Amino acid sequence: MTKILLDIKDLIVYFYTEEGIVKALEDVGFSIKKGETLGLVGETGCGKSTTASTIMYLLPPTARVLKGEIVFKGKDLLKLSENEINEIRGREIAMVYQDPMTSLNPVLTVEDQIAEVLIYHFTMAKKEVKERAINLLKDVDIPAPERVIRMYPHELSGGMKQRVMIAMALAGNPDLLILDEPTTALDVTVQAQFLNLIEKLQEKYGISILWITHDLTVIAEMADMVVVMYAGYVVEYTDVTSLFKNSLHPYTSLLLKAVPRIGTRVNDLEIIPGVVPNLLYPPSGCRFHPRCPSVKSICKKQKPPLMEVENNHFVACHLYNEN
Amino acid sequence: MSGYMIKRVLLLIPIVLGVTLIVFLIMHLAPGDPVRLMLGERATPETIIKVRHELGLDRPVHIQYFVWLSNIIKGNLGNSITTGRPVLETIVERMPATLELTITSLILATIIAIFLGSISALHRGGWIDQTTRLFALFGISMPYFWFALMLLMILSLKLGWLPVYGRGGPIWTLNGLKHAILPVAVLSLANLALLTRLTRSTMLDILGKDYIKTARGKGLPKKLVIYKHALRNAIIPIVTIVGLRVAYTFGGAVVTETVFAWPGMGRLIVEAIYQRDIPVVQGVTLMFGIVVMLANLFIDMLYAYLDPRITIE
Amino acid sequence: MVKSYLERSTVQVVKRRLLRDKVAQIGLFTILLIILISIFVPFLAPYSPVEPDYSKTLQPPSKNHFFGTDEFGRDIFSRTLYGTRYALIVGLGVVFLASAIGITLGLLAGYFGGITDGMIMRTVDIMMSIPALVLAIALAGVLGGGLKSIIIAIGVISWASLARLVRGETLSIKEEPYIEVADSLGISNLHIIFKHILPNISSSLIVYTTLSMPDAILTSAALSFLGVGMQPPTPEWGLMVSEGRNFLGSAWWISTFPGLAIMVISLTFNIVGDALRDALDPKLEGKGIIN
Repeated sequence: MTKILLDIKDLIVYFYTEEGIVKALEDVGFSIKKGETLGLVGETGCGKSTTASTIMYLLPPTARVLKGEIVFKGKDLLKLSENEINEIRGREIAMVYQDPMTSLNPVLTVEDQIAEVLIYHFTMAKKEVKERAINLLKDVDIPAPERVIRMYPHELSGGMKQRVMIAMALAGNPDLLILDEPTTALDVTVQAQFLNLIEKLQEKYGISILWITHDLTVIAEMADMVVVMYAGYVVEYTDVTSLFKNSLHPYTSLLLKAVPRIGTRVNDLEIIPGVVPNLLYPPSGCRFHPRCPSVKSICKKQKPPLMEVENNHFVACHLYNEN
Repeated sequence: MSGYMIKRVLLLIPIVLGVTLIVFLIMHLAPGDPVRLMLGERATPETIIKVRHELGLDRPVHIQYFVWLSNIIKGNLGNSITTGRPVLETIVERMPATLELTITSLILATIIAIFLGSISALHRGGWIDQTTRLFALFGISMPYFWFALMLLMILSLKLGWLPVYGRGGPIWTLNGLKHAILPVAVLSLANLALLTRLTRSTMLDILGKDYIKTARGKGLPKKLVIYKHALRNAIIPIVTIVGLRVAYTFGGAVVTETVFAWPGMGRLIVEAIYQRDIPVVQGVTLMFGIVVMLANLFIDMLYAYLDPRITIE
Repeated sequence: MVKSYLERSTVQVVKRRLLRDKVAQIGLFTILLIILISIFVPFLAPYSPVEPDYSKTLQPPSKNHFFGTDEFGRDIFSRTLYGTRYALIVGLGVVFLASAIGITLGLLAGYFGGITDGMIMRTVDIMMSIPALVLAIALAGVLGGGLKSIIIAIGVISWASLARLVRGETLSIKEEPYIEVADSLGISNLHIIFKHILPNISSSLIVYTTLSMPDAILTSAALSFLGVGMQPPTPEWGLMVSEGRNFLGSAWWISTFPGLAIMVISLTFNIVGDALRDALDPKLEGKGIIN
């Protein structure tokens, strides 16, 4: 039985803003095993990025974690001090962010930004640091790494910047790598290269990956387990094959139908009717009920809990709750 | 690199000349004959005509300007109409005082502003922030000649702590320092207030940027993120604004020197304007123009050094 | 169809934000108060601002004379109240003049580019390298002092930074796709400028003009203080401060109160200007994660 690396339980996170309370995460829970890739899917605003930010504990000042545990290698991250969590960030858990164009500091060189991780988490001699940085760049398939380390971010292309970010993330030898929509800003060919690269790196380093995306095709290729989120809570949680062959939640089925596949005609594409709810005033009961094709009267009153309906297949839907 | 510098200096020359041309034209529009002012009411018309001819003031305006221009190249700024002394000499005498005042107050204001503004941004909403913002608001609303008088009144006249006027020698001497405290404080106020506000808002803006999130995500200590990542970026727009404030600070020096009887170029030019002493006005304006240009050049180079996105082309 | 950038909802959002800002409300109220004072001052001032009364010279603040009297026996309180007129007129005059020149030149430079841009920007550079006060003193001295000369002198100097601002914004708006569309449809330049560019820079302009009032008032006070602005016996605040200079040790009230008035009016406009800028700015200050 592979060890569980990260276990999130009953996470509730609200944002206390000028306009009211945004109920961003409600009872979110899932776990990641060692070496596993977990895909976190959902539309924009469903809480995927907030979940990642909470793991890293990098939330805006308006956020408050009201309940929950994030157990990583035996320790609850939410209970750690600022210093303790700084030791983990960048070192045991590393994150690659969405927009490579703005995520690198424009006034520091590539070498500087990679070396920071090495200097602050390990004690290394200067020469070692430079060598390690060059090796990391080689790992992420950046050509002419000796030249690139002296460059500034604005001199690199989008794809290169993204790779530098991965190199930065890997510098700490992390156990868990969080990728927040890493391919959204890239064009399709670069995207394919990126996926290959990640596969290669995962094989080489044996890291677990939390892959956040709204693109189901990426999930199909890269993920072992999948968590589908909607409006701040988990609606379905299972392995990738079960998700695609036997999805249980109505939202998942609609998501899958909305992905164009070779062979389908344009008329057959279905759009999910309605819009994503405003989390200031989320719908009562099950938050998906306004858009659900299989809605029942109980759905408007009671929020369905996440239950294991089949082997290792969890759903939060009243269709499967015969209580 | 030096080619770039030379090009910049060459581009600046027409600007400096433009400045002097404008001032020259203004002075010549002035009603009020400098010669008459100088010689007094009882001068006879013949004397006036004679003196005007001697000083070359009866020639057409554009010829006067060209004569003046050609003299500059030879390093001759003419003689003061009122005192007859070479303008260059007077300027050299007075310049150190003004430079001392201006440079000290600018540097002081910048350093303190960056410090205060950063702390303010970091503890946003806290009492330090509120106090600093309030102080900065008062600072940009304060008429500094009035502030000077108030300080003079309280600290010099009532309490007798500091001397009332004049310069007591170079600023690194004790006497010099005592005389310089009030003028420098007054001149720094507006810049300090403005730059503090600027630093605060720039830092707040930068602290919200993605690359700061990346830096925090790497587990770097907060202090490092602030100084190395945030401040390094914030300094760029701040330096630009400081450059823009150089000209303004010279203007402020004029008033400050007047109030504190500080023997600098500011006071010189005000007196010269009253007396329609055109060569002095021209000469000092030229000096101001050159110094402002040099300061801007320096700031530009600093800017290019700090921001790797700007290449010297 | 080619739509204009400014959404109607923005005005409502701005109003909502302003109404919530208590400090801004105080500021607006104070400005209103000052304007009212300047209009009704003949009824509000207890004494004449210019007539001397040699029996009452240099009296400290008292029940009869809130701010005391000066060397001519004139009531400082009344003079300060009358001073609101000069402050407001100069401020508005300067801002108007500087805006007229600055906006026009900025628009021309930004929109037409090329040689026009080059020439205008060179002039801006020149204007910004002369210490403003020096030029103002020279101009005001030349024009002979008095209200009109101050307004012209300061106005003529202040347009430069506004021109630069307007040019910058015009340049970035010019790049927007809908401008290209309008242009290719053959819509006249004037129409584009007035219907598309101006509305989009209007929020920056409002903030800028409000925030330049204090500068204009402070500079005119400085000019009067130095003797090249308003002339005696005008009850202008800068002049009053200067008149009290000789009495700093003995009759502190002569310089103090007018100076305070200058500060108050500048503070007010700065507060309101700040509030306007915060309300109009779509990106609210700092959403950072350093907490």
